[in-house]
Amino acid sequence: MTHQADNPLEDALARAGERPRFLAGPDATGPGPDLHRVSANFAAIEAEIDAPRPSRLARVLRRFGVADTTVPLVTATPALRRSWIIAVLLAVLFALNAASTSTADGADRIVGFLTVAPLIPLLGVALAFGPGVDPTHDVAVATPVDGFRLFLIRAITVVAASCSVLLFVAWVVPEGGWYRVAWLLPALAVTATALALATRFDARVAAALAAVGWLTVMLIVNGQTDAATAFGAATQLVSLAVAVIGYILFAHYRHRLDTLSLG
Amino acid sequence: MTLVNDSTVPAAAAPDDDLALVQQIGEGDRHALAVLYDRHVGWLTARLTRRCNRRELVDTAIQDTFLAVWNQAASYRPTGEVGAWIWTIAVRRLIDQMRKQPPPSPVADVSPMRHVIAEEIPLALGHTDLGQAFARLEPELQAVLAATALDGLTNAEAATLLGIPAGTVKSRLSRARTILQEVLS
Repeated sequence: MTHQADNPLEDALARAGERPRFLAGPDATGPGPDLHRVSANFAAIEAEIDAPRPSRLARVLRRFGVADTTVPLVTATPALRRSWIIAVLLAVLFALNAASTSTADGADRIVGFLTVAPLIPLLGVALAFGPGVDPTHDVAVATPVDGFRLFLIRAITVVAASCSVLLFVAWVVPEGGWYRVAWLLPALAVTATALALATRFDARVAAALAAVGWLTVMLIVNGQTDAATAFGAATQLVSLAVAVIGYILFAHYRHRLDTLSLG
Repeated sequence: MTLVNDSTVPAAAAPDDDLALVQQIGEGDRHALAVLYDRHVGWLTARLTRRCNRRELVDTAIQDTFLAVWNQAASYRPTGEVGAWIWTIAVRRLIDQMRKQPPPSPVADVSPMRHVIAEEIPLALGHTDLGQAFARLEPELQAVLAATALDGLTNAEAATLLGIPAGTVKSRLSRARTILQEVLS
């Protein structure tokens, strides 16, 4: 009887011995909804059933509040394809392995990794735009889409994906300590440089120029000092500065992106 | 109000057939979904409308409900009537819709459940002692009892449905219980 005192209404319903009559449904109606409304609702249900299921990535992005119109721009980025990510992962790991067997020197190995790592997001950015590599290129050309926004969303996606892979590799590499992530700011600097150049050249040309620039700097610096100095605080600060300046130039010349690079 | 013009499926089938329909839906039978929809959309619309008079929210809730039926039919384990299962989905989908809306203004409807209290409670309780005791409660207390005990909602869900804080639901519930306990003992 104490249970009855807890929730008399529920208890009375339970004691009735069956589910309450109103739950049976059809007898508890007023005037029914009109046929037009019923059909429209069912049409909406069927349309939803027939709609293609969004990819897992798209659903995750939506969950995190990415706008519905932005999601396709992100998911169509070539650098997010599983084949691309696996290829990058294998390439970096094999490069590391080759470096370690040829010299058997941990320091050289980390320098090799730090030199190659910033090129990965750069390569991703280069392959995210233009005919033949961008699956949405034709759509982008035919649509009055904001080129700046497209570039930015794509670049951020590529950098995020590439850096995830690189962070995994850095986590796998046994030696190096702090220097295992010293490529992060240089990678941002090189990518921002490529974006700034993309306002003047084709995205692939811009990326190639940035890559050549990065490798030249590395050759010069490596000939003179060791890894600790080459990727020390000074380099990090310069990289940050270059990244900021690169982004500012990119944003300043954004209007060129609408006609030049997508055309 | 019939979407399905197929003589092989009798429109007024026995209640047991609901279960067979759900099984067919679980196997991906679109026709079975249409039949089930046809059979239940009437009362479902009426009862949801009694809890929320905004037509677009009710319509979305109904669509979400039958989508959930479509997706969950394969894993449905009969524990009661299919209508009751559909209702428990529908009332929560309605509350999901209401949660997305801005909160009601302070002078909003005093009791969104008043049609429920007027029509469904008498049907459920009739002229029992409990039914008469319920009728003498204040309308606010009736509303929280109807939302929690009748619709099986949690306190938080009832709060969304009624547009009041969850704490208020709790305190009104305990007041209602105290009064019912006194009247019935």
